[in-house]
Amino acid sequence: MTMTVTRMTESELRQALRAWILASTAKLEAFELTDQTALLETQIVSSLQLMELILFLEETLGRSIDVTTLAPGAFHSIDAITSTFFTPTSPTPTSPAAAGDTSEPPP
Amino acid sequence: MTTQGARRRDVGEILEVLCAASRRRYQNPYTAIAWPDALAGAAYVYFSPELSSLDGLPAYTALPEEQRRRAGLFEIGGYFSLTLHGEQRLMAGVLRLLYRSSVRAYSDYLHHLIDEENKHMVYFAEFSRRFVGKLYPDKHLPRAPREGYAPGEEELQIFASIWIFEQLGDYFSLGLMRDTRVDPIVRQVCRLHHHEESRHLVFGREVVKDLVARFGPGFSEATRDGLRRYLDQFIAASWAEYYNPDVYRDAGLPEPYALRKAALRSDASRARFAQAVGPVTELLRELDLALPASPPPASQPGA
Repeated sequence: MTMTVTRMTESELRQALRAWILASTAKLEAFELTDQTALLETQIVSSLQLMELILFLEETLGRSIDVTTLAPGAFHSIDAITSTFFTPTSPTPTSPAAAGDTSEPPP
Repeated sequence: MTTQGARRRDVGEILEVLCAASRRRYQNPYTAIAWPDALAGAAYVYFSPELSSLDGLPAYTALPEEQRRRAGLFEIGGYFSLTLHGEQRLMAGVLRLLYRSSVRAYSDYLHHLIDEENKHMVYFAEFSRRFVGKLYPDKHLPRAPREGYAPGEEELQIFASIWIFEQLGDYFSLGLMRDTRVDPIVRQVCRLHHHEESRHLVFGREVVKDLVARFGPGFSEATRDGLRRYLDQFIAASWAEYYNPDVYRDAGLPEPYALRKAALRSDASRARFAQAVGPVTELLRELDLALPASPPPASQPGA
């Protein structure tokens, strides 16, 4: 899997997933969908919709996903998807560490 | 003799003819194609422009000729890759059913089906690695096993899926094979694919009818409705695979995911979809396995 840091926050990713899931199904109302709701077992998301979800995640996160490396259960719930795919935002470009500057700060 | 008995005999006779044809036209996949070191060159395209998933989009038609031609190389790589991955997934289902009593009458031909699909995978993999430099990755996850199928339901789901997938693929292989503008080696791969697929399509159609005749009367309305929904989603998901952002990225096109959505919604795409899926919807309607109004693939979230 190509690991590139996303600029999206974890909360934004959860929100984006909620919106995608609710748009993909007529099986539940917004108030019924929690971050722990089982998505595949309950057929809220079908196995045939997973490719679209993977492409949605690739676009949202800005990186490719290698499905052969995914553990079973990666798409179980919003919690599982977030913990599998979310990478915390990198430090800002003004940070020396972000710029790759490892020299000592000036006295 | 009962109607069901007559149908069983009809299917048996058709399968005997198909088995005989497979044996008569048996191909060695390692000698069937004399692979050249390079493709034929600028006199040819790699993908028929009218079959391109991007046909009709300004972002595509405005490309310089050479870049459009190069995009065609990635499109044929995408088509061969998705067909290889799809055949691999579907053959896993066939292998599971191979000698199940409910489909024992098909077993002899299933050996030919598996053999011929393996040959297609050899051709697609060789072409893609040799001329595109890679196989595009599969974006599907293995299906979790399910329990509680009604008798005949799993068999119908698997054989109908194979038939649908092959019907869509053959739309492209047949078009590419007939297009004299297309590189000769691409046409040869498509010709080999189409000639065997034409038998698989006869098989698929007959077996779907046979399974519905044998098991359909025992299906509850919930089972039948589940099948309708599954097949409808399978058609949409299979069609959407032809729109691959990795292909568009390799072709140097900006915003490949947005381009995919636009391509799926284009009028040209809808027209191709209607042509490719026509024979499928017709039979599914006849067998009462089609949703009353199937949503077009572009209506899926993210599409």
